[in-house]
Amino acid sequence: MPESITLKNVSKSFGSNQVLVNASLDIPAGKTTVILGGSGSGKSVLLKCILGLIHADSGLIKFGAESVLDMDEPARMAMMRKLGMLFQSGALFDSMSVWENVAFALLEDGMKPTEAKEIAITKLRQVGLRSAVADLSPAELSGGMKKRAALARAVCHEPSVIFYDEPTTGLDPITSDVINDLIIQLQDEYKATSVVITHDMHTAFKIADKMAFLYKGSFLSDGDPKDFKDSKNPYVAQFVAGSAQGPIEAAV
Amino acid sequence: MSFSGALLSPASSLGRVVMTFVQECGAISLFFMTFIRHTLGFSSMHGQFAKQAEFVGWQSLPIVLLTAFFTGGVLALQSYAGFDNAVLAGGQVPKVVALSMLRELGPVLGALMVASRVGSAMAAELGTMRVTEQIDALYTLAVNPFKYLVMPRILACMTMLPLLVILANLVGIVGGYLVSVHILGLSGHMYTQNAYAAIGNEDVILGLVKAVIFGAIIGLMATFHGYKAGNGAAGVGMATTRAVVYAAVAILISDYFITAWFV
Repeated sequence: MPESITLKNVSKSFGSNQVLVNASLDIPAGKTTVILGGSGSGKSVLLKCILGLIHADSGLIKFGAESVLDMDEPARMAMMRKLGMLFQSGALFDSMSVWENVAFALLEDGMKPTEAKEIAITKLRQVGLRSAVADLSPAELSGGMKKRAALARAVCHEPSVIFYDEPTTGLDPITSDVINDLIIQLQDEYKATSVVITHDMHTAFKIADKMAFLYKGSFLSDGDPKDFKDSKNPYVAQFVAGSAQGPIEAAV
Repeated sequence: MSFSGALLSPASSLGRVVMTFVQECGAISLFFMTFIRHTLGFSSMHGQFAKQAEFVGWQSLPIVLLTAFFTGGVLALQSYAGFDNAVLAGGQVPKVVALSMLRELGPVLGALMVASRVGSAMAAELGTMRVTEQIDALYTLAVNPFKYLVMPRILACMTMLPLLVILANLVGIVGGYLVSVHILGLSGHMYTQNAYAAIGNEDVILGLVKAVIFGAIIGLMATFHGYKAGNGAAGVGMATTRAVVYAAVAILISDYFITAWFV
């Protein structure tokens, strides 16, 4: 069953660098929420705080009914079993074959390798990769294939929440669109709660049910994609238009 | 720079070095405490342990044994030159070779060879996993990266190094035998008898205690620096260098204290 995620006044700083400042957002269950923001706006730190990879300094992060910040190790691991994550770089384990990567969670749960490999091949086919890819090592894959394999790994254990960190960064426009279609297809199939972090507006408008704009560690705006397209907020309007002119100064 | 600034600069540099050293020691101690805390929950990582044990033990065997063989030979040559007559040398050379190998050179040289071969590889592997988000990926797949990556490596170093040292000691004594008998012309029977007579239980125990501690040091330094690596390729390079240098220095310092405690 998909879970909702609630962020309330989440703050995080590294030394004197305040990355998140009272960030608040409701991420609805079973929908795709796209978090937009420029480089250095705090998107990846926010994602790591939700996952518990970084401990937020203050605020509330709720995964379903549970508070992420108060979880002990077993509870956190139980939460992890419910989620899948596509990393920006793919983060495939280069000491393992592609199928071992995809079936990693299943193998760790004690499933027999022959059975796990069959499931992994099914998942690889689901993301458009041939079964011959299963025995290759990640180093033998192209950038797009790595993303697909990482996507297959993220959904192999059928999670109820899927996180995507910059899913189309570094890919050509056609491969990017294929990944977008895959995200939509997986969303339809698993009915999961999806959280996508991107600054790619094409991706955002194609896949989002809800959008939120993060600027200097705080959410300036959130709503449905149509609201964003017609936004009167000068920051949001500038970001959506991809214009150098406006209140947002480009990071040089 | 002003005069007072010039005077303060070395002092502040020294202060920074001391602060960094203390911070690093603290961080390594916390890392080690986490290792101790997780030791009880290690049962589920047997597969990883076997893989690491093969890497640390079996794959290090050739280099460790080669080093030990020539060390034994050199010991025989050097100690023979120190004695005035061949009769005295015939009695003492085997003792020098056997005791030096068991108490000192077997564990220390074995550990240094393993630190350079295994420590660097482990730090580079974990460092690369850190900067390419593979460690974060493990976590999101509901696997504790510390238990999965760090524990098996430290435990493999702690268990495999003593085994390597036992074999290195044997090969070192054989190396000394071959040099003594075939080059220096000493009696083979006498060499074996004197070497065997010189070795006591405490010599074997001292060597093995050192090997376990040196193994822990190698595993700890390699995993700590790899696990905490940052700043891309440069960070991985730095982690690898530190893992080997810190391990080598810690091995030599701890060797002194273990020896002083036993003697």
